[in-house]
Amino acid sequence: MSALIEAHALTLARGERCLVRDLDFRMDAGECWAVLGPNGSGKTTLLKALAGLVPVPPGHLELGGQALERIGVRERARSIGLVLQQGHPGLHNTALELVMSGHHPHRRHWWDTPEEYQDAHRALREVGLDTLAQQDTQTLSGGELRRAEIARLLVQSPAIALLDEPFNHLDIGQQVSMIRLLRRHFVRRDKGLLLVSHDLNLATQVASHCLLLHGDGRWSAGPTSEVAAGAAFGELFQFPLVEYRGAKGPYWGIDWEG
Amino acid sequence: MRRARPEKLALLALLLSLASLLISLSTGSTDIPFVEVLSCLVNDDGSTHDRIIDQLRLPRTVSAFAVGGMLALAGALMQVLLRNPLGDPYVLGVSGGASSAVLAGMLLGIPAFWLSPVAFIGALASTLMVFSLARSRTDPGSTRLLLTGIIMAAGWSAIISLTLSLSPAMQLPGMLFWLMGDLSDALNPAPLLAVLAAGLAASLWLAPQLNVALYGLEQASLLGVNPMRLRMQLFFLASLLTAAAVAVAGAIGFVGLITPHLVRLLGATDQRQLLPLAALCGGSLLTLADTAARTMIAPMQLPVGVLTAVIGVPVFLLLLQREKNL
Repeated sequence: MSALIEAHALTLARGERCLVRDLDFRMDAGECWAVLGPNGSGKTTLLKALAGLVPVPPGHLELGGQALERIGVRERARSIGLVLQQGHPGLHNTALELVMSGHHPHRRHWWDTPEEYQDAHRALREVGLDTLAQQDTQTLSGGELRRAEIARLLVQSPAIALLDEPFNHLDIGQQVSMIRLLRRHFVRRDKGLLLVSHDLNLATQVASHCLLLHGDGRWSAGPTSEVAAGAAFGELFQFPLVEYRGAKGPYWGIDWEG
Repeated sequence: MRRARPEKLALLALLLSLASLLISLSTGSTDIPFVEVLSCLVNDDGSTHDRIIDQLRLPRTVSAFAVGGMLALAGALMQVLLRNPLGDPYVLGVSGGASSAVLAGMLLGIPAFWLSPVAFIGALASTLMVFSLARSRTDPGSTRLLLTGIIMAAGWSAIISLTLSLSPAMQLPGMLFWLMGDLSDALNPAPLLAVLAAGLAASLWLAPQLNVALYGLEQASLLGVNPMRLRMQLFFLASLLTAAAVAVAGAIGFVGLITPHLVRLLGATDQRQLLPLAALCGGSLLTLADTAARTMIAPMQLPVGVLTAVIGVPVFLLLLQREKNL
């Protein structure tokens, strides 16, 4: 079976600065990837490149065995979805309308169907916003807007779900329930999940694979157990981290005394 | 807030439209009762009232309705394009571009028939200039676009002043009155209605994509909309609607700004609903404003653009207060 995402010698730059050089990686169905790296290391650029928002020279990216540049915008929206780091709430639209817009790539008709409404309400229930369905999105809090956007992603239901720092507006309880939700929906036989996070412990607990971006062209990718190590993170963030042994693997903290 | 049902809103807008048309037809130098207005519309009895309705008031009333509808529709489209509730052809200099082009055309003695295409070129050129000047490498922020548009409008108004100062004194009063927004020469409503109908049909066809573009062009692209194509379609459509309105009635401000807002306040934020409602309500508002403009200080007539500005400025400021995200 072909990989969900395959990158061959992908190079990403911002202006003169090379962020990622010759990136090769492959994400298969059923995997959960975490992209880690310091600020400005190209994590968001990579996600946008994968989703087709940032142009990439042809031949470097494949989705489901097909060259990214040969996939039409509508078809692409059915196979890959991205929750942006900063979403726009719309013009006084309701949370329900925001979630309903996730149906767009699948839709062949002008009107809404009862099934589409059912899906949207179910998604809102799953993210715990069912009581706010008729709420003006401009009055939602940052965390509520983020959850509405996750609900839209559930409705869109792409094979590959990309999320750019999805948890940074969420309290710890919401982080856990959103992770469970995302894993249930996207870490499956035919789907995959890739997320950017700054929380090393959360990312390494959740992700089966990690991609580390240094921001100067260097990168490393592989199963979490191989890639995630104290020394690697210390080098990644240019900052020594203390490694603790937990029952389910290592976790990292800051040595404030040092 | 609990939102009104779509059918209720549609009914309300239709009733408002009918009421505004009837009021406009019955009000004027001689007041004609509603019942007589209706009978004059149905039968041709050749009476004085019949001739007033058929030859004077009906063309002007329908023109006012069509111009108002076009301006409101153009405003609603620009608000999606900018993702900002302050979008409006007048504020963004699209009306200014069309007006400058028409004035230059008048000065050069271009026949009246060609003024509409000239207005379209002016409007489209202004829109494209605003968006290319405000372009940044990422999704252009709406503030950047809005500021560029406002500066562009200021530039056009300077060019308008220049044109006026170069114009012969004989032409000046007519030019000035047209410029302030005036419907007294708008006596041929058929082409206007055709542009409005075509514009509304195209807007409704684009409405599902607009419903996605509300969340930003990047998000629209993520949900399967070609953002550049949609943007060009919107440029074209908004410019066309604005130009048709400006060529006939001059620069009438604030109808395009306020109407989509009122419709949103009533609870219609889905573009498939908002766009037709905005066209109906914008038509009604301008019809009522024009009725007031031609009767308030009768036998003299006010330019309706002055009236919409007098109402529009405070309403604009109130709406600005309401927007938390600006």
